[in-house]
Amino acid sequence: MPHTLHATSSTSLGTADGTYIYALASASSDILGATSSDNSLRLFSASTLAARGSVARAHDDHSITCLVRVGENVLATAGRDGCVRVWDVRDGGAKAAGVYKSETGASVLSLAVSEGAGVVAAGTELVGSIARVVIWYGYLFSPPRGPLLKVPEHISKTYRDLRTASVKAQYTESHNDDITALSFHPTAPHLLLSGATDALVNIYNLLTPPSTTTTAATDTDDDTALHQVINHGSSIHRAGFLGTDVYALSHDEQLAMYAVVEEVPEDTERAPETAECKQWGDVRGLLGCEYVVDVMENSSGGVVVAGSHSGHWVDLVPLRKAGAGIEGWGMLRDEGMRLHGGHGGEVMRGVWVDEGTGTIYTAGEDGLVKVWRAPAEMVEVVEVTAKREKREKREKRTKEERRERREKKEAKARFRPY
Amino acid sequence: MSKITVAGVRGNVKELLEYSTNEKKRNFLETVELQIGLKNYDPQRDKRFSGTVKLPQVPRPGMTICILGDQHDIDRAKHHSFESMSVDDLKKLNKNKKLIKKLARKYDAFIASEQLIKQIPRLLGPGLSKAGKFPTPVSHAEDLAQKVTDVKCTIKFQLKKVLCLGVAVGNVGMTEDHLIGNIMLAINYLVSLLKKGWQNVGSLTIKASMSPPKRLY
Repeated sequence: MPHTLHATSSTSLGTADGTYIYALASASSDILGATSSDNSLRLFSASTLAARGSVARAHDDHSITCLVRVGENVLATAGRDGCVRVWDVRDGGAKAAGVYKSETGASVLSLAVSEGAGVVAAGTELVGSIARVVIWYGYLFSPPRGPLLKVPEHISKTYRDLRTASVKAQYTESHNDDITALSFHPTAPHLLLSGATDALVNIYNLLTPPSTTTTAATDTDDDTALHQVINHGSSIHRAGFLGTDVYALSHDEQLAMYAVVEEVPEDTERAPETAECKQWGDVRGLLGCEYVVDVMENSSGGVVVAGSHSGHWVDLVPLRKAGAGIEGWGMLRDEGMRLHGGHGGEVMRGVWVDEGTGTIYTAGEDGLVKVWRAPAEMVEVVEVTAKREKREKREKRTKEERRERREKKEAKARFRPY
Repeated sequence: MSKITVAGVRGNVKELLEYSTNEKKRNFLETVELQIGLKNYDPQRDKRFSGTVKLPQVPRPGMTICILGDQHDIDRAKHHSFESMSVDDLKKLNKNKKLIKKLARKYDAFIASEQLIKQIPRLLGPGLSKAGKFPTPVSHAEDLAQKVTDVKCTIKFQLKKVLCLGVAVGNVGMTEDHLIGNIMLAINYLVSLLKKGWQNVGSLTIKASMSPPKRLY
């Protein structure tokens, strides 16, 4: 049986009745950002839930579609006005610190920022017959620290402050419908993933030079950059990386894991030795839920967040990989946590977990942000089992694998409890 | 929970088939479409309503499918007399955009072996994706004929900015029972994805290409 948690506090963030809260993101250890259907970006304290500033019309009168963390004290939003805006929370969101506008002004539906690599990617709605992934190269505030993407020569010539950067690449040929998901590979930031309602998940290699020599963006960049295409079979709601594997969740709640192709095989006559995907199909039956909110990455794999509006609950179900192959992925329902009450009869839309304190923040269509706290012993138990599993795994590994793992770990964020 | 009965749908399907097969028979096989009007739903704010449904019967038998595969798959395709192409055939297109477009236009859908599918971006670029016809994977262990039927049975639906959408659920050449089976499955699946279930459904209508609409709900 999953462990049951009860909400410890909740707030409407001062939104009017009937407002939906769409998404949550953490800007710093105490400041969280929330976007809502009144087109505002609100900042609040993670510990006291007190307001810390707000931007009433973050994208003028257009709705906000995405909210992501860029780095310490920096958040980014995307909107239907075709812009990506960057916000520094230290000035309470008084003014956008940076604005990127796609040339066509098509609604931006998905956003990914890799601060280390200095790349902003935005995915647009289908306008006419074109849906674009637009990519800006550069750096945001200061020259990047940490592991830096080795910038290819054709880009480094124009590598500069992102605030003045213009579009440097765009992929227009790879999707034929609204682009709803974008994500950078956690350890190889030159790999960018996009998912769309045409059921495809594409992986691009940003290091591939454009097929033409002109510095201006061309419409055929994806000809050479397209690395892998996955046909998920149903309109993509969320897609991204869990470790080095790819997850895809459709709008009709079909969930699957896919392996990333390292090198394109020359030999097509030989059937692959290992499976390349693990499909759960429609997970509503499997988890007893009515909708899936998201899949989140953490240090031991991932978490599937699934809810029931008629049953008034939301479950956090661990997704872990046992063994090397993609087939090793499994959902551990019994080790999950149930948020009792959920967001009442409404749908939960956003979730953020503070791994350090084991606090879970959720946002929903009832216009509330709710806080749930895992009991201290629960956090520890999860931590201990995760550590033990890791130790056992490590013993089996060869030296080389061990080194690889260490390198990956260093690149990752701090420890997350489940 | 269901707000419509098989008996009610049967009456409407009977009238529709009577009109399209006897009263006003057309020179082509009319498609039967299910149209859904939503209410209490805001496409800007609510979760997207989009996905695929696998129907029990093939709604469009005329759909053409091409198998892209290795020798093993091509042999299997020949056995069932499906059209097929090998890696070498694809290489001959030489990444020529016009030829790839032509290939994409020639078929309604593609199926490719798992190994070949990885090479598609390199062999053909994004051409098939752009046409919305990127292949469905098939492994050597799967029954190819079954896979072809599955692809033909699967229909996509997506709500855009307006509150109604239509899905092709069959044709007037189908029997009454088959058509009812497809309609009922499609309705129940679509309603299960809505937050408020039947409270989100404003209207349900079936209509053949050239027939007057028949309201189910």
